Amino acid sequence: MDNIEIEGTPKTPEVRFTHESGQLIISGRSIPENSYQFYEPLLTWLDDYAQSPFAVTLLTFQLDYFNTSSSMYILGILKKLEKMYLAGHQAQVKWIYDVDDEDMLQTGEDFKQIVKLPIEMVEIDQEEA
Amino acid sequence: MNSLTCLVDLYKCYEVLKEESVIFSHQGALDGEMIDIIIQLADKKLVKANARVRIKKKIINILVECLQNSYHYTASLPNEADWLMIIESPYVIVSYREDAYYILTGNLITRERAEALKKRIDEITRLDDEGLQEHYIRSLDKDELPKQGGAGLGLIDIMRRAHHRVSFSFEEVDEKLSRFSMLIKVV
Repeated sequence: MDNIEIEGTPKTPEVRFTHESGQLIISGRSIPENSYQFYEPLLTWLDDYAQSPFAVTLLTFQLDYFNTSSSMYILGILKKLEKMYLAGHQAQVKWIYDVDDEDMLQTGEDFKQIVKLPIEMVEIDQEEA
Repeated sequence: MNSLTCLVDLYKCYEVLKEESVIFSHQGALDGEMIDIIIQLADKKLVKANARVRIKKKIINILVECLQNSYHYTASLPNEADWLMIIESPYVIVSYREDAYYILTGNLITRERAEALKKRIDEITRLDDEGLQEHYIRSLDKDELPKQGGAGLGLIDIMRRAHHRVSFSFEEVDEKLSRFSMLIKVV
């Protein structure tokens, strides 16, 4: 299956989904008016990936901004991974947030509350980076 | 009105904006590109105003929800008699006063829409922190994903991010239209 490589824009995140390494990365801004259009192909890719996933799947989110419709699709992605995880495949999620971004931390906590997946909250300081 | 009077009036308007410490404002129709420009402008202006990263992120996220709510509403309207008035009506003002940032935003909506919105707002504003959190999780965790917009999550999200410091107003404009406004305080 093909990997997904999408460059970031002021409204949509950079996406790197690599089948051979199990590394799935979404980073940047996710504030499109039409989240369906952006995220639907990612959800479809995950359905295919779930047929023969890598030994360990690591899903990393590092978002600056996101809108509410994106958050519903991000949850959709997490649920696909949860399904794989509950079926016995190894999976891990890293939720990277800026030390000054209390709302991003809260969103990560919200997702943790909803899905049964190991989600690691990783705090970074973008001003110092 | 001659052109000189007009210029004097415009200058008064500019003075008011300065007095009220307006960081930026916009009035007019919204599309994806316009929202993009407003967000980029807001970002730059807030950095220049030395807003803390935490505050800047909150304001930008709230602005995105407000502007996209207006955009999705106007985009869903049939092109009928009041269509142009509604399309052209969205406005947003961000200002700073006494250690707090204020976002004033709104647009014209049909009276029918105003009634439905009042009910939703009434439900949300009654909730305390815990109730709002539960409502948010319930609204987020849907089996079916929305093909347009955020499926009503926007208002709840704004309330959460602003820690309930949001006031709403509805003003009847004529027999068909109301002006919906929101004032959001960010500290």
